[in-house]
Amino acid sequence: MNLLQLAWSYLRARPLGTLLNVLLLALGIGTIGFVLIVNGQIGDSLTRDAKGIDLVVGAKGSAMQLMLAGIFHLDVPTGNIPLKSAQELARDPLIRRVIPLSIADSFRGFRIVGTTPDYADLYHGTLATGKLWTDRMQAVLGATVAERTNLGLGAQFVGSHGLAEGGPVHGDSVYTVVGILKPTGTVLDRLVLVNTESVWYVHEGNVTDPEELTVIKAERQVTVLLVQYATPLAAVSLPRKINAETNMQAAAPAYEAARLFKMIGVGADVIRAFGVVVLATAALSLFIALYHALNERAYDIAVLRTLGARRVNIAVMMLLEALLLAAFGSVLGLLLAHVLAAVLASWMAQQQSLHIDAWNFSVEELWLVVPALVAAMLAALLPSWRAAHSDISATLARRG
Amino acid sequence: MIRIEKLRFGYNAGATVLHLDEFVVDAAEDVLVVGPSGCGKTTLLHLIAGLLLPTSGRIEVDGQNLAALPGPARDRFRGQHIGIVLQQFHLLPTLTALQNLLVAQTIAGLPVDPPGAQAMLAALGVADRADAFPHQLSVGQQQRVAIARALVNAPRLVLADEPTSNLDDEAAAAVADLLLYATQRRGVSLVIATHDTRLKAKVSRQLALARPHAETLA
Repeated sequence: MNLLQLAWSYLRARPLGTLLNVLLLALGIGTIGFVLIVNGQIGDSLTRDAKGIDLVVGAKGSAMQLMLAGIFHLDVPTGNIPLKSAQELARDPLIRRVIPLSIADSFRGFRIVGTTPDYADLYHGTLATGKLWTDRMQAVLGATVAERTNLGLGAQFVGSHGLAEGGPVHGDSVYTVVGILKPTGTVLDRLVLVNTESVWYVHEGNVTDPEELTVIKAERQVTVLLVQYATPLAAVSLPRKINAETNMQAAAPAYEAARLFKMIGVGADVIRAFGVVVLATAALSLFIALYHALNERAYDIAVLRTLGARRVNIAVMMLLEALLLAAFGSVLGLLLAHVLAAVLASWMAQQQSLHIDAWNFSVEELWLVVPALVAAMLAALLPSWRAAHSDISATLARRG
Repeated sequence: MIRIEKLRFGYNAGATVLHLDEFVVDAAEDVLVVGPSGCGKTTLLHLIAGLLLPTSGRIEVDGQNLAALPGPARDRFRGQHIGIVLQQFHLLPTLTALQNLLVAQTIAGLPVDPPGAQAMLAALGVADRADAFPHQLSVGQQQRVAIARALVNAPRLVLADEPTSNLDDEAAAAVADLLLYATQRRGVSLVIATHDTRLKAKVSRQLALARPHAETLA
């Protein structure tokens, strides 16, 4: 029957008050933890998706929109660019590799992206089953797409025009699933990959007349180019050159992603501040509970002293009580944070937005125990001191 | 067991609440401290227990001058050598009867000895109530547990403050008999502070305290 057990016995004796304080602490820690988890996961997600891409090139418009559309597939593209301009750019010696993306259609809300095998390679996408496309109208599904649409190898589907669900369907152009990718935790998971020719074919129809074909070929377009530099020096001149000398626009993902993250950060700060306020409320509630307990337990404390408890024992008992609450609150709070993150993750998955791994526990989260303990310690400081210095003789005499 | 010399105690520098020139309690001796309320009976018990320190004079318990010990050591001495039975037998409400005895062992810095504590409950006839909480015990059972708690650390001295107040004749007699029997059997000195005249028949040695202001005026 040590001090910890004694402290626990008092917590157990008033379950409602204990529960209230644990919940308040958990809510504070949960809110702060939620921001920590989601911020980290979104940051990781953005970083993963933008990894290896030095520059996004597309039609003129908003640089942010270009990046959101071209890398994260979250926004509609700014427009298309002529294939010829793209091919010209690819010949620039400052550029190591260009991955073209043609974005026009979608299948049940998942974007159909016309591209080259380099694109899957960029995200280290490997096949779970089947093969990559070898011809037009062959499709490779990202892991999420395959899971949600339940399409297997050999399944056939048609794309609908536009990127939102329910656009007019391209009924006469049927894609066949030839491969399914393993999950990568990147944007690749929620895309349908086809070759660039497929996208052209779907919109041009089967043109056989050579003259017409020449005209059409000259007008062919792509949507976005993902560029990898040959040398870091390219960062200095290439974006400026593209923006100034061509009818295309170049956006640096590193810069735009930082800007995006900063915008999200404002929201995160607000939620985090809310968490701190809740935590402060929890500390106040705990303080009131302990202070109230002082009066309620004055005689108990006196009895303990007559049994030989030293002042420090009494103070430690009160502190332990607060720390126990903090420990329970932290554990529950962390759990709450992950549950909230899981809710957000499933919502974002529904929206076909960024991938968040809500149940990924990081060591960093253990630091959240610190604010809980600090709050509890602050709340318990004065009551503990008062308890330790209460006048035993007077308390006993008052009852006598 | 207790040796008091030229004891004076007052809360402020001026007013003396208690004045006792000499008072000695031998080992295994029972003493009743009597007097009208406000005469300092409880104060005297608190002084002997080291909960209060004398303004002047000397109190020795088992050869130890309590005032000479630093606070924490005095608390520990009290826990290990003095058993205290409080008015209304205040048991810690969140602990079971047995746990009330165990916490007395822990808090006095002694090893926790559940069989010993259980045996003490048995000696006072409440072995079967070991796992009951205080609010589940009858008043009589609470008294027995409180006496067991006072004796569980094998003290040489037990102090009891008004143990029979608010009890009917039968209950008062039962508690007094129990206290006297339990302490005498163990050779423990017992000092009972009371204004209860019913106890006078049971304890022959009595120390009568008077209200101090008469003396202060003199």
